[in-house]
Amino acid sequence: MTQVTTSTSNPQSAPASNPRAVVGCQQLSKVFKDFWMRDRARAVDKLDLVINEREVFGLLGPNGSGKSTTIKLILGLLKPTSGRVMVFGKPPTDVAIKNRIGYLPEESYLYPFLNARETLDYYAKLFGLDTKTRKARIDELLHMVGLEHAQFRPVREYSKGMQRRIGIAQALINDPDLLILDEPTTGLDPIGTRQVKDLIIELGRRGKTIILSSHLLSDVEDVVDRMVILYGGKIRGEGTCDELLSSKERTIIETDELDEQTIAEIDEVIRRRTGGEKSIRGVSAPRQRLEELFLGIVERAQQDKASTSGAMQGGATAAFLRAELEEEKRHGESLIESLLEDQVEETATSDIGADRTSEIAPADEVAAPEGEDESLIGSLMEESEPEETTKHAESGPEASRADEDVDLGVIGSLLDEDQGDEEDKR
Amino acid sequence: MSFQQRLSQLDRVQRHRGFKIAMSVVILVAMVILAGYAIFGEQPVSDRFDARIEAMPAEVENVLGDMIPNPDIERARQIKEIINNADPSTIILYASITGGLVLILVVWLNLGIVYPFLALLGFLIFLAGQRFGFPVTGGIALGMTSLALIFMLLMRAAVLALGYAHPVFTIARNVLAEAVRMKISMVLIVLLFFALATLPMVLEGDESLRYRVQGFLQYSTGFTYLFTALLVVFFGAATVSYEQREKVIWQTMTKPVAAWQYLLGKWLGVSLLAAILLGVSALGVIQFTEFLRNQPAQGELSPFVALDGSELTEDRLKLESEILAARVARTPVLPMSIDSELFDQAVEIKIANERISNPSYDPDAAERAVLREQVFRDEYAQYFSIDPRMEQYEEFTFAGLSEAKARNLPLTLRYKIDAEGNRPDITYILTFVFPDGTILPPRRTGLGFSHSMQIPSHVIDNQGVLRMQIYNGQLIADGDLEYQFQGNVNTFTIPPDGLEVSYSVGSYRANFFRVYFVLWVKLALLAMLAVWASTFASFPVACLIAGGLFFMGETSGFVQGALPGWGKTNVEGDPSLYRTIIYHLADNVSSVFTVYNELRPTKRIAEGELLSWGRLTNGVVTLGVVTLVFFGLGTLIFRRRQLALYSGN
Repeated sequence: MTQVTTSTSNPQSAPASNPRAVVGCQQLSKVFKDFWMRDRARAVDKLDLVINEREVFGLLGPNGSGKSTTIKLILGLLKPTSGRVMVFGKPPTDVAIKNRIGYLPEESYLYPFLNARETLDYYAKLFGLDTKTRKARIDELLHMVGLEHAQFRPVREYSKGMQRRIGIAQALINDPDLLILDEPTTGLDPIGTRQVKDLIIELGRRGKTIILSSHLLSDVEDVVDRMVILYGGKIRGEGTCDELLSSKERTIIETDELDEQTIAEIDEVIRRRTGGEKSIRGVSAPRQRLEELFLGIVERAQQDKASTSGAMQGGATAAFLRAELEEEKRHGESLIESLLEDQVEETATSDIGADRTSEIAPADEVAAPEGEDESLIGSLMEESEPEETTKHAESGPEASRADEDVDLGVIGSLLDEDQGDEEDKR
Repeated sequence: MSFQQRLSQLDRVQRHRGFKIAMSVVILVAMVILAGYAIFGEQPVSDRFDARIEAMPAEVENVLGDMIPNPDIERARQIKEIINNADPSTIILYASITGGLVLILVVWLNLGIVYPFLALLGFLIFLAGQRFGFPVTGGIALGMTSLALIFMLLMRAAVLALGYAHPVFTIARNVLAEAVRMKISMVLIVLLFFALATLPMVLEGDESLRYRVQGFLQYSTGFTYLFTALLVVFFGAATVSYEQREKVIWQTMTKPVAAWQYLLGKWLGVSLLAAILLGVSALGVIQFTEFLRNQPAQGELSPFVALDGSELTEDRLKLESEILAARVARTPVLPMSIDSELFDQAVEIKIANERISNPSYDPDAAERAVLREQVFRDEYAQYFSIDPRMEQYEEFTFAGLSEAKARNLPLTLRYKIDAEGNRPDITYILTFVFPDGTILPPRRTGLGFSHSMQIPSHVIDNQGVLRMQIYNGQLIADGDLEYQFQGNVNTFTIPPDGLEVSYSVGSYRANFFRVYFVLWVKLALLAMLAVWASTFASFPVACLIAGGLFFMGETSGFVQGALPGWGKTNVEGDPSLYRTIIYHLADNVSSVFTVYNELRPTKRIAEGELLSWGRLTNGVVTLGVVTLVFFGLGTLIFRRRQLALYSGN
């Protein structure tokens, strides 16, 4: 196979959808103080963020950039020093919204005395799931994360990767609408990492909103629709993968292996058609990625039935994880259909995430007609009024504006409104 | 087939519905046969008393010539009751019903094979101990097995009861799982069982039976309470604070679990664990108390059969009527009240006397109150001191004895005197005289420890009041209704807890479970204190706070008793600010725990004192309200907590 790099690009056009916001942060700041109440560290600094439904959203940044703190603020595990957070139109302290959230912390914090099945049963019961549903879901999830054979061993005996897997399973037990994954691939072997990435893509395809925090850039790149890059608690970059990563200066053509003469002829054609301005810059035979090599070896070992006490290869994504939200069935179905169509056309798994990105990404920086911001934020704050949302949805696909200031003004006013409502209720 | 596979096969059998039904039928049949034997078998031994009571005259004449109910009938009835309790047919009846029901529960809790297997194992070790010369080890093994079996049964029942998918029950159930799978609690549980199983082995066989039973009841209950309290403090604090430290709480609190549900679940789990341990201890203690009760008492040939042919020995009678009983106790009514005007006058006289030497002496209101208290204390001490020369005797009044009068229940008088530094080689002779002319035989009394004796109920007047004169010496008959007084050498004093009369109103068992319930209510409050403290403090600090409050509660009775002896002046006699602050602090803090302290559960068990429904309700409601207050406080604090920050880090 030969890869030819040229100096033009072919950006994919993105038909805009009309999603509702699930998480909204306004001027969110978190300052950790010492014993004498002096500022010790400003972990999050005036962060403005809107995460839409059905979006796989990446929080990127080096260690200590505020990713986990932002997630903990969204979950109510920390309280903001200033600014506001809303999740499903409610403050994070609202217990009811937790029914719709799945959370995987940056490390697996489990009860060491429970086994995998008991662990999942414990978390399932916190959601009030009945015995039959619990059993079915636990069986499916254990199969999915490849821990069926170790389900009766106490989790304290598990390896870090196995604990991570059970952590992922507990985050999915309630079939969440919003899945928050903090460094989900930490401690996982390449197979586990691949599976988690596939799982995120699959869940995203099923219409879940996913917040993915990571400093492993390749993980994020493969799966997210949109991302922010944090440093020092502030957003330093924001957009879709394509927007951030695509180079408009070059074009890559991938073909079966070519001889030098053919390549020279192609170069000639390019030079001729561009009047000598453009030419082939490099020709290379692509190397197999180490990940692919590793996965191939393990797969062969498993076919040879080599024994292991660790995690087995996980099964298919649990069927109970719904493909769409009930109240948005029609919208969801069309979305998934379009995504499925796209996927059929794809052959390389690693490209699914990127391709999907271009299909549904509601990028702030993509040109959008007026009214889009109101629709987004309105849906965030008026989660309980689906009819209203449908009206917005029927107004047709519109792209968002790039003007962040206007957007934030709207968030502010709506947060105020909502806060007022909350207070009225009290 | 591997051992593991065989075990799981056995487990499948004991879980099988057919097995459970078959076993239940077998147990029911055995129950019916045994109960039938008990009911229709031999006539109870105690029936022979009926004929004897019939033959007795209903009334007899007293020394004053008045007709009074025959005290012998009271005594015969009491003995009949006691012997009836120990009748084998009664025991078989109760044992078959309760044993059968427990076994059916065992079978339906999926323990139908494991349980008998473990019981057999314990019994075999016991038999081997008897046969091969290690009876103490064998006995401890049997005791521990039986406690472990009860524990297993109660745990299984509790876990099943908490099976409902709700955050509170789920968290509570997890706490129970944590308790038996984590070292911190399991070590304490095993130690408790070991101590309970060992205690019967170290009781001396040559003591009188009543002291052995009393000692066993007191130590086993006290030890269980203390140990469970320790467990509740440590485990209650650990289960909440460790979860924050280890961050496991992040995953729980990001599920739909409200702060109150989390804390309530934790509290419920710890309280249930305490209830299970108390239940295990209660059943173990009852089992062994019954075993001891059926050992020969001092002066008995075999249980309940006296060597000298009398109906009951002194040891047996005291055991049955004072210890293994639920007694209502009354202390003397004070003839003076601290509010009386007499004390005002006494205070004025004291001030006037002081002014003779110090004309500028003018005490303020607080100082007057102190003086008044001093006068009262002097008067109180005076009342309970009997001088053999000047006053010779003192009259004491006990009220609220109508029930004993109405039901002809014999009274037990318990008394204690202090004199001459309580030298063990000295005895005093005391004489008890009643208004109807009854004079009990003079009692030779050792100093500094409790004595008891029976009083017939006819000495109580129709208002339920008993008046009794205690002579510091003996009355020697000198002709008809003439007595000559011969006093002891010195004055004696009756200490504050040294005089009471009581009567038995029922079996010790009902009282026993009431007392254990109170112990549980106290531990439930302690569990809430530990959980509450863990909402804002790290593990060691939470343990200190909860343990400190527990210590204050338990010692408040002692502090209240000791406070009158705490001077607010220094050695030079000047008022000391430091001592005054300590006094008021101790007084206020200990009075907060008054209700807590007055329940005195362990003392009641050891002394067979009835815990009345009124006091029980009052105690439970008060402690329940305090528990609720701490629950509310804990929830408020916990809601404000940022769980991603842990103060212990």
